[in-house]
Amino acid sequence: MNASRSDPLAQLVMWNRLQAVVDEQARTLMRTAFSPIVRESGDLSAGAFDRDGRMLVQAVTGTPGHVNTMATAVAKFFDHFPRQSMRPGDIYLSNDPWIGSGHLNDFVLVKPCFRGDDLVGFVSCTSHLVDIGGDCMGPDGSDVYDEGLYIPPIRLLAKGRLVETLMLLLKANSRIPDESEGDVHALVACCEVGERRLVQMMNDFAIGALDRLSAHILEASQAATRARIAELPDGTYDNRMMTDGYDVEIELRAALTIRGDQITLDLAGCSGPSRYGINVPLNYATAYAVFGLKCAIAPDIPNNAGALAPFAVTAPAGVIVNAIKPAPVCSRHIVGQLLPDLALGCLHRAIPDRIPAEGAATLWDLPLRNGLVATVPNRPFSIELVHNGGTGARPLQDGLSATAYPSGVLGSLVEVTENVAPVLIRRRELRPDSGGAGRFRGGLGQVIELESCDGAPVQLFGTVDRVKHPARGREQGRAGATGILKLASGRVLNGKGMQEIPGGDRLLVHTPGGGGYGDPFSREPDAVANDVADGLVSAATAERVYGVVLDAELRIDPAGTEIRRRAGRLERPTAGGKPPRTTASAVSASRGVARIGVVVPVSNTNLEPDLDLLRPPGVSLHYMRAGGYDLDAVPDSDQMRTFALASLDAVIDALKATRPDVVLYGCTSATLSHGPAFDRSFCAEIERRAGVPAVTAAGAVVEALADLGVRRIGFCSPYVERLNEEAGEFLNRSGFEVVNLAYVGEALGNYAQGALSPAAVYALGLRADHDAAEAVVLSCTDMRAVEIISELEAAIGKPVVTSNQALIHAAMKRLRLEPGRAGGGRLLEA
Amino acid sequence: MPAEKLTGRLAVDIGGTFTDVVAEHAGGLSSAKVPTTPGAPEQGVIAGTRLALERAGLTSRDFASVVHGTTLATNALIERTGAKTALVTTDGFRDSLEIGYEARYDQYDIYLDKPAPLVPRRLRFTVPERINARGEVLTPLDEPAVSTLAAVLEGNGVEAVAIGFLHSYANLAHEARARELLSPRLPGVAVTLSGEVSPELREYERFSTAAANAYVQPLMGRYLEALAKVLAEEGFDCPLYLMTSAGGMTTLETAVRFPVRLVESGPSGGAMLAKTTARQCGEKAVVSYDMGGTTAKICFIDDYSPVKARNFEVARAARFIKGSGLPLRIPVIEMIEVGAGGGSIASLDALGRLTVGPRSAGADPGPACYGKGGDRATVTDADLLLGRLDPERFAHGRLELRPERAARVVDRDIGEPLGLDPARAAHGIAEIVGENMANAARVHAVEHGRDLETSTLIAFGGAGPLHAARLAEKLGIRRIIVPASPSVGSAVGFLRSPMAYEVVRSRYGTLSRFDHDAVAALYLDLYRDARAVVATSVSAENLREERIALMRYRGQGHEIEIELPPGPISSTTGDALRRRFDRRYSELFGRTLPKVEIETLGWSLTLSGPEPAIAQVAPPVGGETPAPFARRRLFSPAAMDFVEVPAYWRPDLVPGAAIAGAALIVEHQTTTVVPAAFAAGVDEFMNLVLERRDPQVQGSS
Repeated sequence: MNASRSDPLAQLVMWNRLQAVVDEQARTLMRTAFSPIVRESGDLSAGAFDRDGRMLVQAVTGTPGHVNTMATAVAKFFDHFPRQSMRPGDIYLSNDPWIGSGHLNDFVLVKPCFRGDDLVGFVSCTSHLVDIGGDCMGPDGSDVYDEGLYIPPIRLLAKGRLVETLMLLLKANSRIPDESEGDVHALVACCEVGERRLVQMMNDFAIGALDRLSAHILEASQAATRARIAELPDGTYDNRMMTDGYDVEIELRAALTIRGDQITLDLAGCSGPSRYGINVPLNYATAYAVFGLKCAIAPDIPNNAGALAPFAVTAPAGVIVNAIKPAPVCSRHIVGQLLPDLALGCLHRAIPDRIPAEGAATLWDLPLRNGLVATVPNRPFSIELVHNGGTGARPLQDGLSATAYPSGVLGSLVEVTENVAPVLIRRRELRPDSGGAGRFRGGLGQVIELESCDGAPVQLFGTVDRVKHPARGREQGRAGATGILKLASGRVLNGKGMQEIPGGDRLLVHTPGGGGYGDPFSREPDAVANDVADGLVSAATAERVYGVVLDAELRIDPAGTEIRRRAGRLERPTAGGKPPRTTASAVSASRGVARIGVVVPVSNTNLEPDLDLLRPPGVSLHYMRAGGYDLDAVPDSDQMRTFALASLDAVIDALKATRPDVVLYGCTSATLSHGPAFDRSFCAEIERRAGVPAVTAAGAVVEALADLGVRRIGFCSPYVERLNEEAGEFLNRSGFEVVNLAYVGEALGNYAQGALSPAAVYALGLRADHDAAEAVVLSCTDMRAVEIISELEAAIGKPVVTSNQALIHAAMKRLRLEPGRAGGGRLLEA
Repeated sequence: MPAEKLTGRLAVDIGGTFTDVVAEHAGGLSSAKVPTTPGAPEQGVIAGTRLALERAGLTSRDFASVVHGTTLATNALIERTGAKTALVTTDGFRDSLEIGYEARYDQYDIYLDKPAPLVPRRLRFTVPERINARGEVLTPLDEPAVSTLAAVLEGNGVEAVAIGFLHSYANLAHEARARELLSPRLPGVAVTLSGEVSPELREYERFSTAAANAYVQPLMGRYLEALAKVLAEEGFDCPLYLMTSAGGMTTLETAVRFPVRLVESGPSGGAMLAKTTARQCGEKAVVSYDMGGTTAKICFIDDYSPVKARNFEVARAARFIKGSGLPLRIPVIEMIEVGAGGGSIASLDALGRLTVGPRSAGADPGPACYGKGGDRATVTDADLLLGRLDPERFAHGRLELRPERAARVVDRDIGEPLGLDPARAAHGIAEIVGENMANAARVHAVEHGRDLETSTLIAFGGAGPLHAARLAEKLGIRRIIVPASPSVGSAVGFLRSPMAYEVVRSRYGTLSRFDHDAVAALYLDLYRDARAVVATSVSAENLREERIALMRYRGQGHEIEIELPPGPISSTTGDALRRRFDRRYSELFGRTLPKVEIETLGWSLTLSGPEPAIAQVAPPVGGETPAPFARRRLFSPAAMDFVEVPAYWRPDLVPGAAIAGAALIVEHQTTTVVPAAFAAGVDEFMNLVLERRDPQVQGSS
């Protein structure tokens, strides 16, 4: 290749070789590193740079937070060490979060490469050290000084000799000094291999400088990236996302501007800094945001300074994604890893059919160490388990279950964990129904259950997100399930901060699901049936959310599916996104909007006044009374079952005469007592008879809870105790968890239930509440609950769902009426 | 004929495209290459065998053994044509097989799909039981639950079952008991235990290996039975041995039980050929280089022993991307596979950069110059344009190569867009493919602390001899050996393989608390297991043992292999291991960490029979230069133009022949390119030996 320095082939071959140089670097680092997160999970980066500190190639192995921060880190060292002061054999080091990878655990090394006396370029690498002192396992520090040893850019090796003082200082500040020393040596070895191979490459090709090669790589990559951006429609596209935060919720906002062949992402408008270590230095925020955009726009263009140049990220100083020193930043990945979803949400508005739904995004890593070291005699341990939720569904593919994105790290295996730490993992399985529904389903999260195997308490450092705010779907796709961290004994844990798992208790981890893509009613029924057969989606969800009715052998019921889906489509907004004010029914509406038919038990005197309170304007309500039960007996399970089994044909036929747009079945306990499967087929039966969508009170309660995105429920009703318990079981079997069940205290007859005062119902609702509950249900269409919804919600700070309110909510959805009923509680006011 | 006088040995290698048969006998080697017959592979075997016997002038009665390697198991995994397989696992862990490492195999690709597990979720069943990391039972096996499961498995029409319980490498009792309960209730269904097929830590790899074994077992069982039958019908009454991925032979019974160990047996045969050649020539540091139609495989051979590994990935969704396949934890010869073969397709990427592979035109339609409908520029097309292939003598003259077709596609796809004439474009293709292989070799060398420049390259496979010299130049290697019959190298390698079986067991410990009694007891177990496999064919006094400890510093994730000192395991073994570990770690990474605890993760034992006796030969010394049969135009990278060079017919060469570069040495299936900087000789074993003549640095030819 001597003849051909200017030969384009020679440039290609050298570019290729440069890639091998950095891959060798990364391999060396993984082989010799101690931090499990480096060697097992690949939390590292390696790259080669030109004389001006511009990244030319990155190793295939590596994670975006490291790679793209390293890309800008090298040139920042020049401010501290002018290039002319650098000597062969020098290696520079820093863990400054605002220079390197965003927190003190990540060390970045930079080595000037010399060919003879000429400085020809640089190699760099980063990796994560387990322990650099401080409170370094989670976001609990109050400033960066709490988070460990802070090392500004310094010279680690001078002319090939290690500066011993520095190593002494580092070791004295680590709980595991020998391993930390080993990790630094691994980084040094990585740099040395890089320089050796880089110079060898230059010798092989007989080139004295990288300038020409650098120009070729950067220009070609930048031009190709810009060409891709130029294909995108110009404009400014917004997105916002609520995220859990530590103590207070955080709003993320972005405005993406595409102008010609340049992209700017402005993060102004994001919430201000947190008191806790979830703040993000801008270099780290930029790394992830640009990574997300690059995946969608130019995934095949090699990642280097040229390919990164057309992307700019801006944010005013002080917002959470542009944290200013000395803000605590230890767990900066929590918010940082949500930024690809934020940026892609903007891009979705520019190119609507290429962008996946939101995913679990933030790693669900579980840093664990043993309880108080000084007082517990067990062998000390600290380990960082790495796990993930589901990724968002893609425009033409389901999301990936329990898979990392945007991070590139690998998950922990059970046997490896149990061999190195005194914990026992009782479960690690996919989490059914956690993938957001859609034409393409979001990836599923997973369930992990873990306990101490020697009865000693274990400290958990919560660093997870999407516990309160789920991954959202796109194009009518539903949100994925939110994540849950709790103890088997019932206590719900915060997603953030140090908490203790008492000996003998068990940690339950439910990682979030990815969002769905497209209307769930348009998912292939076969795909839904397959998911049910594989236990990824429950039969209840298949029917309720996907509108796919399956028989006991999980075969598709085409007629039932057709009816469910036709009924369900009525609730879909039209293409413009704004639901129309008028009914979609072909029948003209008597009072302008719609007619609702209601089946009411003969003795019920509260359903009608409640619905009057909540009746949307322009809607008329038409009642038919149904009997067939002993009015004076105490309504127990048997009576309610009998009631539900009595023929409704005549009642429905009479209602049909009013040409209703939707039919409501106004008794909760009748179908509750038979279980969810009965309730669904009962509802389908009414639909068949009426020829329009129908809703049962029990089904309406389930739907309301699902729409509120809550899972853990406090429950109460005026039912006799056994029926009350059956009602709780109904919700449990419908995918919720009743964490508290309040019983009215005495066996009430039909009329006594209806006579309970609002004050008594309020008191009952308070008793139903529980710390772990996310919402409270007051069940029974003949109980005066609607009048006290607002007061009760104010008192307990959670949404309240009542049977009659849920009925109106479900009817309004099917009529495509916008919410906004004052006094209707969060469900109707939203 | 009395058995002891039989000397003939037959080797059969079934590849995806061709079935190679080599018959070795007193008069030398005879070979045949016939198309593989995928529907009934034994038919191709018989066709090839008859042809080879005819060429050798022998009958089936003249053979003492048949050695067989096949890609059948690999193909079943790639094409998903194996049995309907169920997994029975520990309660709470139904999805270990699917969740794996939670990783995407390509950082930037948001549209990738992961390979589906071999066992779908609906066929993954759990039963209550639990054993901890120390092998202690926490929850006894729920036997009624297992018995109940039998009916469910039968109802689902399951043909094979893998049983994988957590920590079964430490205590096999529950898996074994579950098999006892299931087998009688499931007649004709093969059951694989994860703790038997791969008794090692890491449930994902172990379950994946067990599932793969179960998945291919019915198919391989049927096939091996059919093969044994037709061989018997052909009159072979000698034993049939199977080649394993670790480069040893094993018995038919073991192959039927653990068919997953036969995956990639063909390439391991190639490595054994390189090993034999290394011994013949006294080469202690060897890079084995096997380049065929689709891939190039590179492995290292240290002191006549191929470097082994315990991890392998099969059926990659994205070829050659690590993490996109199914992991298998079995003993293998460690190879890096590069998407670089004769059929690899050259194209320009989004940046207008020339790339070659991993997509391949295969043998059908094949390269454009085959004239069989291929319309993409391939490496073989480039080789033809560069003058490296002999259009007339290629493939026994049965396939006429068409340079004009090669020129057209190379010019259209590469030359014109890049503004290069066809020769330079072809040179570019060859250079890129060479760089891809060289880069892979360099990265691989780092992992093993190898110095490539002092190594010898042993090249074979249909395309290996064409590219060997340029690859050697790129790696700074000065000596190249091309063995005889390079294009059927794997089958020849089968004949050079000893009877061997490796067993390995995970057992965590530290050197500071080295429990030599426990380790000695473990080795008794391992010995018993391995002995059962090799017993039928090798007597005890002829067995060789190799014992390896997998060790690392506490806190690290990658083990290095340390050979145990010879002799019984005693109280001094721990210290000896420490010294050996320190020395090896230092060789690999330049330093030791004296204060850090050293861990032992696992122990392995390989029992092998005697190596085939091989005499060592002296390198060829300047003999006579034979007469070329023709002169050909060869593209010279140094001149960036064509030069005229002599072409020699390899079958005519005799030991001692000396040929100065630049030259071509042509044989039926391939050509050895000898650049100007090299000189070639022929040794007594008919190996071609190429030596670099000048002290120039690489890259400058």
